[in-house]
This record gives sequence, structure tokens and C-alpha cells, in this order.
Amino acid sequence: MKKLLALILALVMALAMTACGGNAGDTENTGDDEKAPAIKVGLLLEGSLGDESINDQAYEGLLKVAEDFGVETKYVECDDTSKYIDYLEGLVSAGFNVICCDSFNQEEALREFAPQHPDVHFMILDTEVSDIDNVASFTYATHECSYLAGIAAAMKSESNVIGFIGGMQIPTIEKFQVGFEEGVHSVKPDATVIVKYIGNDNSAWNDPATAKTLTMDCISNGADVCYHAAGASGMGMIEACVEKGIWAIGVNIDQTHLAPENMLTSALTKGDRAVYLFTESCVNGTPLSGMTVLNCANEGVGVVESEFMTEDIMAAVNDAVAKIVNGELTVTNVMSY
Amino acid sequence: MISVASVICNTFASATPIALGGIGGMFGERSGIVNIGLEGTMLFSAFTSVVACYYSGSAWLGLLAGLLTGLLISFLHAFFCTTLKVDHTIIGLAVNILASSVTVYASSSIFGNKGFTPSVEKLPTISIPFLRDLPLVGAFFGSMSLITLMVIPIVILAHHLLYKTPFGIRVIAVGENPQAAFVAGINVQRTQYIAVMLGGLTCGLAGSFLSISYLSMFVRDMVSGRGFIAIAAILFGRYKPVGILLAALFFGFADAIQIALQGIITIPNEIIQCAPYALTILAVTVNEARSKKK
Repeated sequence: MKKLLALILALVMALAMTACGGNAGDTENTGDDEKAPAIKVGLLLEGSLGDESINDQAYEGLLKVAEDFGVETKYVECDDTSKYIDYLEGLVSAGFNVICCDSFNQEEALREFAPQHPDVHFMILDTEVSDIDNVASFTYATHECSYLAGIAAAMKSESNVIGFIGGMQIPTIEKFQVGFEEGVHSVKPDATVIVKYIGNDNSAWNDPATAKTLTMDCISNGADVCYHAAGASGMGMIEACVEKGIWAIGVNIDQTHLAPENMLTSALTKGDRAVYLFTESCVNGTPLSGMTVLNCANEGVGVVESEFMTEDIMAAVNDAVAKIVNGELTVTNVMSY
Repeated sequence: MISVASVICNTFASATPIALGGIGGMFGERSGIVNIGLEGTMLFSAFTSVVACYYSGSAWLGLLAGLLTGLLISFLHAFFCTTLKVDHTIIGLAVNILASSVTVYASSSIFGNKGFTPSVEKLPTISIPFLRDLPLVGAFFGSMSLITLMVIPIVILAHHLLYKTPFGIRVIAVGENPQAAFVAGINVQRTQYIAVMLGGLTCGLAGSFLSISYLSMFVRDMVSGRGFIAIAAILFGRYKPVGILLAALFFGFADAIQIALQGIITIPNEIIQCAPYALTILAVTVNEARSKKK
């Protein structure tokens, strides 16, 4: 008898609770119908801040978003590939409805997670996702910023010999190379670009010693400006440039701090711009979806205006940007078919 | 155009870590301990050199840290192989995988960056009088890495140690036939420990060369296969110190030529880049065939 009573009591309580839950949900829904939910921007980092690379860059975009749109923002650091989904889940359940993923390594997790949350808008950097409605992907027009870097290199070079150090000879990197060469030749048609590649496997991205040796060889052949597209191996090129007192051009982020005296400029791929553009589109109620290319036109790529970029170089660069934007000039993209 | 001076400089720069790693592996091999963990040992040393250098500001302490790390890792290798009798290849593999992940983890927790560390103090370069004024090789002798300078004395020392001292003879005996050596009264385990750890020292030196002598920072997985090329150099050099040095110089030269030729001749880079490895296979085959004839 006691047991039965307890059971009934428990049932009543459970019913009461679900009823309450239901009510709360209802009021929330009616609230949604009247007013669109506030935009809350979450950023999932691959690894942690302080990497002086994609994470810091994306975080910069997040800060700007918070400032310009007055939206609530939050970033989470996750360096465990298997936990991306948990972190995404955490952001979504905390009410974040605009979620930025800053690395192509998060693509798999995003592909699994995004379709389950159609009311949340996602973006991912540096990869191509076009088949999920609520996911926007951003890639970079690296040939355009390389072209601009090429202009700067050619104008700064006295020997008219310029080095290019690539990681692996794959289309992604040839895109940098060809853009850079076109940039150089647009200023000095008879200048020589010495092109060297580090290797044929993934160790090419982590082999600064070989990069340094390659750069030394370029320098001994007269190069006085060198540009790289070789990931962490590029550190070796920068060291060689500092040691021999020639100009280096950085890539992806502003690499000036790595060689303050020798870094002419850096060819930028602006992940912060992607975070900004995407949030802007969500705030305006027209969330981006599919693939977006970050290029000169949307200021998603560019070069650093350092103290070594003299007025005439900046003028030539800005002129080229204007021509690329209005379609007068097309830089070859080896990856467009 | 190929710059001969550049090819010479690059040959020695490429050969240094291979020669040192090779000498390191050779001591182990000679005592009967296979060590494919050279790569990992070098990576550990490269990392600790930079960390010690970063905190102390002294490249010499960095060098010391690199040597001690080489010693420690090789001690562990010897412990697992001789005392615990674990399969040598497995331990070597474990060292490589461990090094690759531990250094990245430590780098991110110490420097907040998984990819590379800040720039640190480098070991001084040596300028050799007279030799630096020579044509072609002058550039090389003008700013020579301290560790590159140490390679030749180390090879001579290793040769002497292996062939002219009782310790060396014991190492060879243990490696050739441990049972016979044991019966002859040699402490097999102790000899193996010492041999492997001696090798760890030069492996450590190879790691330090990469991170605080040739470069001034640590980049994840920066050894990039040099530890395995060192193993090829051991085979190619027929387990002899001088042979290993020559093999390393050959690999270094092939690499330097490959670098110089890139962009000059219009054949795909991949073909030029695989030349050192193709030459290795060829050379090892010829070598084996000749030794079989004897």
C-alpha cells in the first residue's frame, strides 16, 4: 500500500514537472515569434590562443564583431580532435546561434553536427563545404595576396633576383607561386624568380632546416627578397634572410615580429575578416551559406603595410588591388578549372 | 646557375646531423641493439636544447641539455632492450611517436604555440683563419657551425674507441656473439648500456645542431626524417665510423645538388628530390653485392 502511494506520488510529481517544463518552453517559443533571438557569436579554436596564427587572427575578428555589432561573444579552446563536437554542443546549448570554426580540421565534426541544428548558423575557415544549408565556408584567394607580395618584392629588389620557397609542390602552393611570379613580372618583366620546393611528403611543412638551406642557395644565386608558402618550415627561410640581411616576406599572418628588421611585408589571409563578414550577414538577417572566397574585393586578403613599404610600393599595391577589384586585372589561379 | 660555394656549404650542413645520428646509432648496432628511435632522440634533444636555452639565455646550457636528453632517452632505450628484453624495433618506434607528440604538447604548454617556439640564442659560429680566405670553400670556413666542426674529431674518436680500445673490442664481441662474450667474462648488459648511451650523446648533439646551431628555434617534427637517413648512412657506411661519415657526406652532397638544381633544369622537382634515395638504394645494393663476392 505504501509502495503504491509512493508510486502515485512520484507520478504526480513527474507530471507536474513535465507540465512546468512544457509551459516554460511555450513561453520561450512565443517570445521567439515576436522577436528574433539575439545574435550570440561563438568561436571554436583549434588549439589555444597565443599561437600567433589562425587562432589569434580569428579571435581578433571576434573582438571586432563584439565591438561593432554589440553582440555577445565567446571563444572556446579545444585541442582534442575527438572533442570538437562536445564543444560545439556546449556552445549551442548555451544559446550561441552563430558559430565560427577556425580550422579545416574541424570540418568533419561540423559536417556531423551542423545538420542536427538547422536553426544555428555555422562557418568554417580554409575549407570547402557547400552541401549543408546552414554552413558557410571561406577560402582564400591566395594568388591575389601573393601577386601583391610579388609587386612589393620586385620593387624592393635591387638584384632583380627573388626567391620563392614552397612546402610541397601541390596546387594549393603553386597558387601562391604563380600569383607571386605574376606580381614580380608585372613590375619587372625580366626579373628572375628562383622557385624551390622543400619536399614531397608532409614533413615538408615542418622542415625549417631544409627551408634555410634552400634559401641560402637562393641568396648565393643573388636573391635579395624571399617569399615563402611553407607553413612552419618558413621559419627557416626567415632565419636565413635575417642571417644574410636580405628581405623576407611572410605569409598568412603578419609575421613582422619574427624578423622586425627584415620583414618587408606579409601576404595576409584574413581569417578575422571571415568572422566579421559572416557575423555581419547574420546580424543583417541574411546569413551567408555555401562557399565564399576571401579576396581583394571583400578585403579578405592583402599585404601588411609595414614601415619598409615605401609610398611608391604602396601606391603600386593599391593600384593593383583596385584593378583586381574592378576586374581590369585577373591573377592566374592555378586551381580554377 | 649552380653556385659551387653554396653546394659545398649545404653539403656540410645537410651531412652534420646525419653523420652524428649515424655514429650514435652505430654504437648501439655494434653492441647488438637496433635503434630506429634515432629520429625521436634527436627530436627530444632539439626541443630540450631550445627550452634550456630559452630559460637560461645560454646556448651552452642548451647544448648541455641536448646532450643530457640524448643520454636519458638512450638510457631508457637500453633499459627496455637489455634489462626488459623488449623488441628493439617496438621501442624505437615508441620513442619516435612519443617524441613527436610530447614535444608538441610541451611546446604548447610552455610557449603557447604548437607549431614553433620563439627564437633563442644560437651556438657561436667559428671562423677559421687562412681557410676562410680560400676560394669556394671560404664561405663555409668563414662561418662554420661549432657542431659541424666537432664531427671530424668525433668520427676519429669513435674509430679509435671502437678499434683501438678494450671497450671497443668488447662492444664488437657483444654485438657479434653475446653468448661467447658472456662466457669470455664480458658483462654483456653493461657494455650494451654504455654503447647505446654513448650513441645517445652524439644523437643529442645532432638534435642540438638542428635547433640551436643551424636554426635558432624548435619547429614541430623538425628532424624530418634525418634520423632515418642516418640509419641508411649506418648501413651504407657498413657500420664503420669513417664509412658513416662518408655516407653522410654523400647524402648531404646529393641533397645539396638537388637543392641547387631545382628550378634550373626543367624536370619535375620530385625526380630531383628522390635522387638521394634512389642513389642510396643503388649504392647499398652495389655495396652488398661486392661484400658478398669477397
